[in-house]
Amino acid sequence: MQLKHWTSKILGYDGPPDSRDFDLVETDEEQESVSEDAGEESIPTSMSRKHKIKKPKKTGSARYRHNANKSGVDSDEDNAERLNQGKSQREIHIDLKTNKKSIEQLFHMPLNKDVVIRVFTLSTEPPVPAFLVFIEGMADTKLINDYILKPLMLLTNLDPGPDISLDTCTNVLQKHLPSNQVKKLTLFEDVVTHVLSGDTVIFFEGCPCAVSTETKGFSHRAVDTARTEQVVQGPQEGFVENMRSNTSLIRRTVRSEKLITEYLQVGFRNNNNMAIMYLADLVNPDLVQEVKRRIKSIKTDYVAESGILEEFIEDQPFSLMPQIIKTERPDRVSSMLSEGKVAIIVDNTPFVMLVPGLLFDFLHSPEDHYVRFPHAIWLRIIRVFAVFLTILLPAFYVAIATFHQEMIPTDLLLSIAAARERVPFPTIVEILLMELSFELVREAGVRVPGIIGPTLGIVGTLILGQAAVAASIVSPILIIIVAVTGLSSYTIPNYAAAFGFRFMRFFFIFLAATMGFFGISSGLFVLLCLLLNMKSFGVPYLAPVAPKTAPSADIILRFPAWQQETRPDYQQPLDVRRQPKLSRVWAIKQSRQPAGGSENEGVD
Amino acid sequence: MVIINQVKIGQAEAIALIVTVLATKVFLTYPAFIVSLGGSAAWQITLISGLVTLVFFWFILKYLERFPDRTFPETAEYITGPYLGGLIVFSVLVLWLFELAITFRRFGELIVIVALPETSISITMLIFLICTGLAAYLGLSTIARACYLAFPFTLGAVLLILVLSYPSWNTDWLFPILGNGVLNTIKVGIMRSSDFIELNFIYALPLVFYAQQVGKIGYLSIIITMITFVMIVITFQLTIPAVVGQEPYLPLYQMAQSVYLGRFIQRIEAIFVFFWVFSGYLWVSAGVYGFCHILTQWLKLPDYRPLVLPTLIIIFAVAFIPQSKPDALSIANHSYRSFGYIQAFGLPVLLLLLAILFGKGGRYNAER
Repeated sequence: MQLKHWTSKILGYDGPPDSRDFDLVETDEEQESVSEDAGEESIPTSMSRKHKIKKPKKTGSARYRHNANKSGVDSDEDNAERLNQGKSQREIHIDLKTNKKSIEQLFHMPLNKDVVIRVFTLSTEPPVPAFLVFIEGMADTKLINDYILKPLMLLTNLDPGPDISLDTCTNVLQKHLPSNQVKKLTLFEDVVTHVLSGDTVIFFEGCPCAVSTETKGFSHRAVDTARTEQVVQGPQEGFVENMRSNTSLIRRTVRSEKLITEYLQVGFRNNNNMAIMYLADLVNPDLVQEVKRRIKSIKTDYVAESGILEEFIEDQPFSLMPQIIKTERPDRVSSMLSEGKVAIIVDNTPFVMLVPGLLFDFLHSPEDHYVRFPHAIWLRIIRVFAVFLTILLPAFYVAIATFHQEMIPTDLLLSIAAARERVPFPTIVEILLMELSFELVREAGVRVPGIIGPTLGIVGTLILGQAAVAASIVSPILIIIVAVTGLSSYTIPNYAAAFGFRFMRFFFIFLAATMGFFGISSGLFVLLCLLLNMKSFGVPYLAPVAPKTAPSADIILRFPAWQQETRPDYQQPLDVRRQPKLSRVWAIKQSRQPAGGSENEGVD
Repeated sequence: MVIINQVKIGQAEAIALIVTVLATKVFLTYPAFIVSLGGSAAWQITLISGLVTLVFFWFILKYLERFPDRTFPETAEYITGPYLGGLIVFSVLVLWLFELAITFRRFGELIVIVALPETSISITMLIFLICTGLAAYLGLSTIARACYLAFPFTLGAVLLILVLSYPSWNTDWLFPILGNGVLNTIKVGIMRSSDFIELNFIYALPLVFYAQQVGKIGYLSIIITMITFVMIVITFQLTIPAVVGQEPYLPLYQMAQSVYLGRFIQRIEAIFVFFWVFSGYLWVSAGVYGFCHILTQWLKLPDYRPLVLPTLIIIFAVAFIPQSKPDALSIANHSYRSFGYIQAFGLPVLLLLLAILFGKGGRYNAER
């Protein structure tokens, strides 16, 4: 049976692969949909002036089940039930003692020492028993003391009214809680989610609901300089781990009422909050829907960092090249939002993701826009050159030294041969030794404690290289090749892209060692085909070059800001034009002045 | 049955693709063979063959306009019936496969000559086959985009060779201007329109192009290719006299070898290996894709991809039928490069005439 199965698998054909492809193409409906009245799940558009920031839709388990039902996977549903057994779908009971018991069960009290239940009485006539629940360390205790317990325990004017059971909640909510964010909850599941995110939830006797108050007060790192994407000229701020600080950093730069922040949750074990941000009047609605679809359909228990989420939502997980831009710079996020991209912010990580991420985006640095455009052009040219050096320089050396010696001018050939005379290894061994040493130094430099880092770098680069040459293990020219390759790889602004390019060079070294220039060309051909076949959220990876779309003023060369009149067309934004053709209006006014005016003034 | 969606490629990419499949042969023996046929009037042969192809393309265009929404096998079967139509498609496929295999072999030989003289040709061709198979598997849009990206660099490299060979130019080699005689030039010029038979890509895979762009794609591709051919042949004639010029197996490589830019830069021909290998890859992968695509449409299969591997194996086997490099060259130049145009350009003309005769297509196409 096994043999038959494998035979049919190898020789048989099961039809085209069953995958859902997403292409971001502009349709007529998209334009029409801009003006249509959107439902709850649809995206606010440019026509709707009002919008509100969606609060986290704290229904992690319910959403999971819904998705499982949709896909018809019953076993997954059972699994989800099992994993979510701690979260009850029950409604809040009218009896306070029952509610307290439920809370204690849900939070595994008294085993769980982080959760605090404070029982108290409202100073009403007759007194109403109540309790509040919060997690120590997540909630600000000063806020709870001063703005929840004090008003409630010392309040005097609470009028019970005819229907006391409902009014307690409503009255407290409306009159006695001086908090900027309060919410009435009816399900225990919502209570759990609110408490876990740092809020304080208050239960009252005789009330089938509870009141959640915003008291988040956990400690987090203050906004600091960006560590991995430094610029000489330009803002120095970087994102931090706290999601709300990150959204505010972006919102501070893009002061537009069209900037939408939607909250989602991923991971049914850690229920991590995440936000997607976009400019409603720019972004293609299909792109937003696709981002939400991918994130909502993730079935996993733990997503703590944007890197983990990236693996779940990227199109080609096996590619060496990243397809999602990760940045820790708010200014980069803001500029890309204004191009029609979508930002994905995961709580507890200082790296914000931007989609779609295309090859040329990874070669851009925010600084390109902060220096004058001729300088930016030079920076870009250097960077593209560096990419080729990173991938091909060692491979070229191996190919020329092994197969195509005739390419080297005679004088140079003689000096190389003299330098290599005492080296016992073939070129491929020599270069692999040095490249692997370089990788070791790089990795060790990242991992060792900060104080030793620079020392290790000096030891690795200078002493090791010097010693290797002196010991005739490698030739001096090879040290130059490896050093230039290493330097080139660090000029690539994106960490993941630089990693990809560095990794590729080993494939090319191997191809060059086995087949010379033919091997390198074969590798380049395969690489090009694979890159051309890639997509990031429905957009071809090499757009706008291949496929050719509308010309852009910011691909490899950057034109002056006043000439960048359109947004990248390949992202299908709702509004392609960034500025009118004549953006420097002052220039035309000046030129319309009478030609002899200044002369006359001078004469007068 | 689920039919895989038909890919469409844009105008710029389509032109790059067609020019690549038409013009890649300049890296092989083309200039030398033309010179051997036309002597000092070789460039006129290229010009005439290009002009003749333009005329043929007018007919191809009329044929395509008559059947804008049908595949080639559908059209052939619609006009001539399932049996004769099937035979027509089969004949196209056979020629396609033959040309593919022989050219594939010639590229293998090219790599052995210019890059890896001590490596076994079967190893080289196996690697070549794997890479082209991957590209063909990924699809036409990938190949066309790769052509579009590689095109300016390849053209630049060729122009660089032409310009850098300037010190060796001698205008005397262009005379006698009429070469082996006007009649001979015209006759060979018409026959050598077979060098444009890859144009059958346009009518054999009509639905991959946007119908309204096909004319522009075809005409521009032919003109660009013709200009490139003429430039290369003239430069080759200027560099090497006609009598000697018919000898080299890889004329462009010989020209690259003759480049001398001072004492430091004098052997740059190895750099051009990249462009030649790249063009070879693109040519063969486009051919493999086209072959599988037509076969899929003919056999009414849902997807072309399962056919890629068997096709590659057949090509690999057929490519080794010629005993040696001169054999492969001789087969190519004396068979489909001499008379291929009769089949490649004659078929659409024949189908067009039959369609007119039987009143099929055009305004009668409404029944579809």
